[in-house]
Amino acid sequence: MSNRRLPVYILLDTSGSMRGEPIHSVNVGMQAMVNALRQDPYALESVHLSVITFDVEAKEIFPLTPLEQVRFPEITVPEAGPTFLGAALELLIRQVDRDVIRGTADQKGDWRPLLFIMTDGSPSDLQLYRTMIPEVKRRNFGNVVSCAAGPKAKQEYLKELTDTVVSLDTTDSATFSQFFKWVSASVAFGSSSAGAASPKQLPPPPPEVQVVV
Amino acid sequence: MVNPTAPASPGPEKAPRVPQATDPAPVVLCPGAIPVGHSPGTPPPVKVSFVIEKNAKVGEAYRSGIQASGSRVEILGVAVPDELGVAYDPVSGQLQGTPAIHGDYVLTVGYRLIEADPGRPPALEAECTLIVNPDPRKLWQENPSDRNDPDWKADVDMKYLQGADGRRLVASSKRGRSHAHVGSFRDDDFFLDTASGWNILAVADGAGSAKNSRRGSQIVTRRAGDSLKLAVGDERGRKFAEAAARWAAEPSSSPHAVHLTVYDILGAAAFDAMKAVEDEAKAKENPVKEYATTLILGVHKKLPCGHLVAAYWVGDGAIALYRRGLDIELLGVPDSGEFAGQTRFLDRAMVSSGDEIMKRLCFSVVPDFTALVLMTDGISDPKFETDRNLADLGRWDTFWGEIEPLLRDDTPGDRLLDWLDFWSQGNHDDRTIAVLW
Repeated sequence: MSNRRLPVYILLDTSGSMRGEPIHSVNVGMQAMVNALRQDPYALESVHLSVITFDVEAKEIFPLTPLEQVRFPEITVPEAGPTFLGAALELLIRQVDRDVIRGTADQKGDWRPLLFIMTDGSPSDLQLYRTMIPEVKRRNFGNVVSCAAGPKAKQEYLKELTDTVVSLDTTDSATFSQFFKWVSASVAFGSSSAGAASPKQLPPPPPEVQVVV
Repeated sequence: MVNPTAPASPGPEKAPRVPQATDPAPVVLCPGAIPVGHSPGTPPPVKVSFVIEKNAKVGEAYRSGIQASGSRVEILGVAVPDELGVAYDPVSGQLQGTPAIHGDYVLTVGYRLIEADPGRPPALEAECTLIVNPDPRKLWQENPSDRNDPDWKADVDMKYLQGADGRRLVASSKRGRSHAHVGSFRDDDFFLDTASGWNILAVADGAGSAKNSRRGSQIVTRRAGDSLKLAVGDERGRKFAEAAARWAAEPSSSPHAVHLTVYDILGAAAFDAMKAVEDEAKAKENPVKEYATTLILGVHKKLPCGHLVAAYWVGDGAIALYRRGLDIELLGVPDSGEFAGQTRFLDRAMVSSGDEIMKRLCFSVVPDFTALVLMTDGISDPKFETDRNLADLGRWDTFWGEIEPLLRDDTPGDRLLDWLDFWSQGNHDDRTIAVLW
């Protein structure tokens, strides 16, 4: 029997500045997030996760995979790379069009997908980024959350994509850990209120994760 | 031979080493030249890593291969914690068993490199992780809702009564697992009654994100139900019955006259329900949309010409007239969107225009019927899945096969409440069913 899926897309910055402790913290945080989600019954039954990284190229680490089958691999950062967030959005759109199921009389649709983006800088491919923004909006995500991680991240570009922007003061492990815990809580929350008319609500973030107004 | 020269100024702490005759000739390299005569040294040790192909789940039979990368290897054995219930089978080269506990387990893989140098130690070890998922069924918690909340509503409700025309009415409603898990309320509600020879049913599903939708569904079902009771008892009920009888005698004639009488009963009830919500919202100083809810109404009367049934429908869920072995008639069209959970809710715009109300009204006259069934999407989603299936007689026959035995019981309401606990992965909404049979 087919099941209603909650697609969750996560886009991770693997540009040169993420090398070392930041990407290590992301790996640890993502692993913890997946583990935490596996303890939530609604997430375990419905969440399908996909991870895309972006540096000089956008790469699909794994496509939409049922949470219980996810094995999170070690994400690495190439030697030095720009931040091609535009390319990441372009890849995301292709994936969403390929994989997210729209409801029809014959087939039940997925819940509205969730999108989380983490970057520690600003888009190097700004023109492509701006072209992709309306495309992302047209895909009707239940929630788009952007995270400006660390002092060099530029919130204003992320604000062009979504109103829900959070910022992290640093890219250290404690901070990332709190961020991914909050993402996990947001996904679980999203899956349980997934029938809602306006699922824009998210659980309150921890102190390390500041909401940018 | 180079003679040592004494350092001209404070130099190295030690005197330079005296060159010997047996030293190799110093090599002078030009760019592009390849050094000769150097020993290649020992190559770095091969790094082999192992990945278990599939994750496991508690209580489920498990079988998975182990992928090695980095070099070709022969797996000699895998150390698995005893209590896990999984073991490595060297014949198949797979891990198999039925895991008894969930968690992440570090397994030690004993292996040797296929191209191992005979001089090197044959058996090596590496670690890999086996992920055993918990069983989601066991993760669901049951937490009580807040008894002190001013709009507290019972998690469970049921009603069973003898109706008109020798038929019976039953309704059962239960809080879904997703609400039980977080200790929130049942947002569904229903109304069931009989009056003046008519049977009256209603179900409603409060919107998940609307704060007071449990109150919304309660208000609309009660108000619409009371309104219907009054209407069928006075001349509106009489006019409806007469118009329907006239139309049934000549089915090729326009049903418009009948629709007008349905409008006065069911359309008016929907209107009254909306007004009642608005009054409550105003009294409590809350936005009306916090009470958002779906609403399905149904009425029935036995006439000399047959059975008369009429409905009003907004939202998801279903109301259907089921005739076993003959057909299934959906008394309206479910509101759905591209994505799961998207539907319409009762709102002012919907009841402000005659056309808008008419669109959601429907009536039917049949010689006989098995059952009139109303349900919220907590039941239609798991049991029917798609709008197409909702219109499929075969699916209804299966559905009837499931609930009919429960209806034959002395306490069908209680049996249905038990049945509402059925498991369906991913479907944990509040569940409400109302049946006239």
